Amino acid sequence: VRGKVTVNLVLEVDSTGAVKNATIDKPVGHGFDEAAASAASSLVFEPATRNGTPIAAMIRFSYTFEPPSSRVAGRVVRQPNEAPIAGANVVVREANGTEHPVTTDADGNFRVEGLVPGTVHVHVEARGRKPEDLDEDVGPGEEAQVVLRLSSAEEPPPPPPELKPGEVIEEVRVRGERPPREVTKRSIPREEIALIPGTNGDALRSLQNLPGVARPPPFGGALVVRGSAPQDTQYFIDGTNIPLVYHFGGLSSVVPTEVLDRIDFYPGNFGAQYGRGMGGIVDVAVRGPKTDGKLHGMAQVDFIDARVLAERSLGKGWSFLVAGRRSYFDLWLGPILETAGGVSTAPRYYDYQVMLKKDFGPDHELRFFLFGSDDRIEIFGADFGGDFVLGGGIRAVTAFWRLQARYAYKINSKTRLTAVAAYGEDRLNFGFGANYLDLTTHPLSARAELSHRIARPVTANVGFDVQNTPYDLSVRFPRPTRPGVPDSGISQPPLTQNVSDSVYTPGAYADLEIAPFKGTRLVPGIRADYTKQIKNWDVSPRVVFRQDLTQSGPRTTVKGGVGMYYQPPDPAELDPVFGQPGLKTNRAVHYAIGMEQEVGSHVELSVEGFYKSLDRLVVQDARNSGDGRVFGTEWLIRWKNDPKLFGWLAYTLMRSERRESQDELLRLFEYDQTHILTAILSRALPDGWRVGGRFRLVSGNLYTPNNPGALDVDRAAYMPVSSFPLYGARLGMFHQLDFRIDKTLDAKPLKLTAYLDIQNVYFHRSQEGVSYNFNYTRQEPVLGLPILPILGLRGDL
Amino acid sequence: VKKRPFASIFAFAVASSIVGGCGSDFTPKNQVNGVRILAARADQSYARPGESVRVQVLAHDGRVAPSEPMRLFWFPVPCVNPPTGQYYACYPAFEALFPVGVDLTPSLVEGKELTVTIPPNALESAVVRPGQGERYATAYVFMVACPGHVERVPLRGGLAPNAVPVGCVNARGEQLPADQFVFGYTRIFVFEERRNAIPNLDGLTFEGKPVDPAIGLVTERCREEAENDTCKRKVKLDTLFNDAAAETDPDNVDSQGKVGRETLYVDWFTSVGKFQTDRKILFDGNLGRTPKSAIDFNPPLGPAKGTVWAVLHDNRGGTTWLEVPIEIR
Repeated sequence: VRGKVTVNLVLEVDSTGAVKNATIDKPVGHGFDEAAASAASSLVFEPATRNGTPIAAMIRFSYTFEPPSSRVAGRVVRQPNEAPIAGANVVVREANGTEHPVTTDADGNFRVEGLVPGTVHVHVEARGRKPEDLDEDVGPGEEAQVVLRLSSAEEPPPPPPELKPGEVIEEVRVRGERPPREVTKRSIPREEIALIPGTNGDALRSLQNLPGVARPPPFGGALVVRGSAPQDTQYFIDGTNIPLVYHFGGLSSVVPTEVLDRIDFYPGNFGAQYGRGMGGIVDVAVRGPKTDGKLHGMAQVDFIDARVLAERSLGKGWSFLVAGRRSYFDLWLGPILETAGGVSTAPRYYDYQVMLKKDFGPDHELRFFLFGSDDRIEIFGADFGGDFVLGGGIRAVTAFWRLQARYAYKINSKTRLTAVAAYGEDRLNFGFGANYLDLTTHPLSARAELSHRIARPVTANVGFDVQNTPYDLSVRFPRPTRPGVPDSGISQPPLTQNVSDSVYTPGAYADLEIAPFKGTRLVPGIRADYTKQIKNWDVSPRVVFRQDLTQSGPRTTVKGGVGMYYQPPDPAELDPVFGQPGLKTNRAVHYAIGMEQEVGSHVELSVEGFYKSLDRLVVQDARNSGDGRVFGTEWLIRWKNDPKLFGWLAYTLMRSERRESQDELLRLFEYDQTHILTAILSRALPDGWRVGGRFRLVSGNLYTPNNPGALDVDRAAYMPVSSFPLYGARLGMFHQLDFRIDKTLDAKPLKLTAYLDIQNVYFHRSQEGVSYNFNYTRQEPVLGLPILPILGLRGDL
Repeated sequence: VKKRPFASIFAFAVASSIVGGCGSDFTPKNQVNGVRILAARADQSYARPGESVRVQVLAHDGRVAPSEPMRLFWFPVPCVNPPTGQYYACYPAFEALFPVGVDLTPSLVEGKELTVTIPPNALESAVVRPGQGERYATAYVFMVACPGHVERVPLRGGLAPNAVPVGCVNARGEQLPADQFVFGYTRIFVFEERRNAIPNLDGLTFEGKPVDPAIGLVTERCREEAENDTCKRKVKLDTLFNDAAAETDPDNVDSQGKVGRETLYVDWFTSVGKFQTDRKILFDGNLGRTPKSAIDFNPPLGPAKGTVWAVLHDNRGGTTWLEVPIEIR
């Protein structure tokens, strides 16, 4: 109900003028009748008279409700320098066609009041500028604040010399995202991801270059975020949890860059919509198929894998995308390894993506997405057969698939609904000799969020996310030590265990996005999670704020937040045989404060300090006795908004400490890296060439030095003597330069690209670990890869 | 000179990158070229309170022309049921008994074997933990192989509590580095009734044929080495044992309730050449005999004479061994 509402009543007025009864003549509903009757009951009239004597009477009476009027306040500025335009002609047209012409003042501001609530159309013209139009939905009593940026009416300047004749600079309109609900949300544009040197164009590997992310161990497919353990960080594809993001060894991610829309990475203080993790969050948004009616495709090959993609629209709002990738270095690496070391290896991976999307209209879509990944590695040694540990070889299989349905609907300008449901399978099989672990799960997950703007400065987000994961675990492992048996580790007789159970973790959350003043944003939220296995509820309050300190020009923002985060124990930690009973959830409190400063239109500086307090950490054989803390600062200087050049300088100074019980001193956590410096620069050159480099300088990984110890004669094994504190020594500083060169040939409609991505250009073999001889009297460094060149070809249609 | 095509060079660079990180220059554990303790066996690996147990050690000095001979010492009294059950929880008792810097040799028993008596009250201090069906105790017996005499060394800061509490000092009064002596321990489990028989090792085979222990092994020297100092030529050795050597193990019960047997495995050692691995499983407690139990032996480049040892273990502390001479021609 946006306009006037009139309620007609019949009133019985007594001889004193008081209303004795009010009857609705023609109901209009929506509570107006009751309100009018109630209001009329308190009216007092001049009584009717007959022959001068007051008498009772019945009269007809109309009661009119008028909604509070709406307002539009705006500013008209030049594009791109944001200078105000004075004297611009603005016409605000109401939904009923009523027009309100105004002129902007010296600061480019205008204001129109007394508008009928509803959709208003704003049209603005200024001399020498292209006119601009805007529709805005404004509620009763609300004020819509708009900024209209007018571009020059002149023709674009002549193309720069590197453009070919006929090519023109295309002007595009960019719609900005609303400020994040988190203190820090880092996104890397897809165009940049594919060109970052040293990542082979892989999206998720590019995350390792952001502040707060430690350098992972070589061939370690995990992210170490702000000093947390890798398993503390969760990965999602459009809100659906996935078990791993990298193919084994971290060679490439399980979802290829080509199907990504963006990657949202939250290093800490993430919003209430995420739970069950106390590290960071990586949420990968997958793009929809192209809908221009043409068939598009892509094919790419390099020494590691080959990938293809095809997509097109099918009409009536339907469109599809199919993509796949398979590695083939098993074909050429296996024979080389067999020759070199008598070991044959057959590693390979593949992944696939199939999407079907239906667009019902703008901001209203339904999407089905099937995606999966399969990694398999088997190592057979010429003499491994019969060996106690390796008899039968080593094998590892990690695979998953998900069928995801996602529905997004912007019901109106104030309300948005997003729902995602997924079903799938995860499979982990690891075996050596006759021992194995085979874990198969069938996770069913659902997540929905209703976002509603209650009033202009307040938006409420309410949602739930639930996971039910039935699992079958089959394990044949050496059993824990038992009476009368030396603790001989792997030579213990194995225990075969078959377990079927389920992990059920429902959660619900709510938060408010409050913008009480211009440039101010406050997001308080709360989340509740239940963990069925330990029958435990956790309630996590969180709040973040952002405050813009400048009204125009380069933006300066201060930001901060504090929140509580819980993480359930791993299922293996709760296993009755291999785990321990009576565990609680791990807990962390995140604190962060920082600022963002734009310097011109191309440079942005971001600085953030963070502190994480950890407690109730699960410790083997000691339940939740562990605690710790992480603190540090992250710096990011980024060059952006330049199609020819991108790059950044990221630096993290950090310390991560933990201990296993309260009576110990805090010691450095094994994933601590004090200094992490990453510099990336990529520059487009004429004739389709692009060159780039990445340099990393990172503190060495921590390790615990071992010293010679006693000989356990029964096991024929020397017992190392650890130096205290554990992880008290650090390997040498890691540094590496990577280089990438691309050459693109645009032979429309085909675009061909050749690239060479060389990791570790100057051949520096950093120390990645320490290995010892059998009695710990000799040691030698474990060195990283010396150089890894990857040559690839790519074609886009 | 024939030019290598670019693709070949490139492939070689990539392969070198990956393969380059593998390998190690360490002497394998099975190659005995220093002072080593290879095994210990008790005539009763499951003893009873008050019982005397004879413990023997298999040791070898693989040094060339040593200045002082290797000597074997025993701490005469077993350490029974130390707190936490860990072997290093016995060390504080050493510190109380033996002063730092004093020759402990007069207090130790020298020789290849030791007879210890399990205290009659050994089980009284045993704690029955939840889920543990039967009371038992652990008696640790400590030994030292040292070309000199033994002294207690002061505790060094910054080390875990299992740091070795004794050192080996030569005739010149120099404390020898850790790779020139061995401090070790073996366990005797103490039960009220339970027994564990020593597994029997019937013999060895060489290239599938039984080995006469008196004659030993004779094989050709290596004539061509592969890249990693391993002889391209290899010969196979294996063990002879009866399945009955693997006793029924009442604690080895699978998820279907089926009671399994002991697991048997063999550790190989040699003073010439080397084995490609250190250990082979012979009998799986649930699956039975392992199909490929033979081990590959790489002879050295030159002629030599030495010894090969096969130490057979069951997983419950029962140990036996065979040693045979080997001649490389």
